Amino acid sequence: MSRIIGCGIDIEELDRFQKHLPVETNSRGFWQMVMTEAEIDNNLHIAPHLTFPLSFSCKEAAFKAFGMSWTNSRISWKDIGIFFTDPDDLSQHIIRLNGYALELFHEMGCKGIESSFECKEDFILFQVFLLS
Amino acid sequence: MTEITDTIRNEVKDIVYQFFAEQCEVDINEINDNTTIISDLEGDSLMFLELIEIFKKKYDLDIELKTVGKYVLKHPVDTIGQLIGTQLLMIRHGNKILELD
Repeated sequence: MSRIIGCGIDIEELDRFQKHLPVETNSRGFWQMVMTEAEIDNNLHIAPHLTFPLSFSCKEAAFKAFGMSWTNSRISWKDIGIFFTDPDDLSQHIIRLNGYALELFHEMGCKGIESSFECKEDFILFQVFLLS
Repeated sequence: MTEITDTIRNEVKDIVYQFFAEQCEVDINEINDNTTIISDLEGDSLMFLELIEIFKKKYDLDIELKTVGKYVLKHPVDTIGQLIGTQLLMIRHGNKILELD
């Protein structure tokens, strides 16, 4: 039976992302700071108005699950990636860890990562669990 | 390396004060260099990132977020004054900011 090693919850107001959407030349720079090109492409092809805020929230929740933030750890935003696999069902997604996030994942004895989210009219809530 | 003039210094300060006043819906006169970003203003990561993006565009900065993260890890930014100082160093040194240590 899996044990929860870390849990992170993040809430974001959707309105706050409007100035960075749609993702065009002018707003791409913001997303390029926190996402790889592969993630940006994935997000663009699904439902950008939701996938971009969800990806941001997922990363924030993952930082918290590790008990850290991007300003007090060696984990970088791009070390945590989320990829949506079904355009009709955003709950179908996978989280990929790289770099220091992946190192830490192993150091902490984690074997799995699970996540879920809720989308309301004006905010989203994302939860990430690190499992033994 | 960009030389930091008084104009740039004042510009950065104005941008930071204005940004937090708008984002956090507080009177700009209530903000000073000792104001803490999280406790006093309830600032968050998104605001910090947006501010970095503003400066990247305005001063055509070549700096990776990863670099900023590493620098801030060693030099925590709690107050508005510390944030302004860090932004000025980013403008002056770009990605070489880590070589300052």
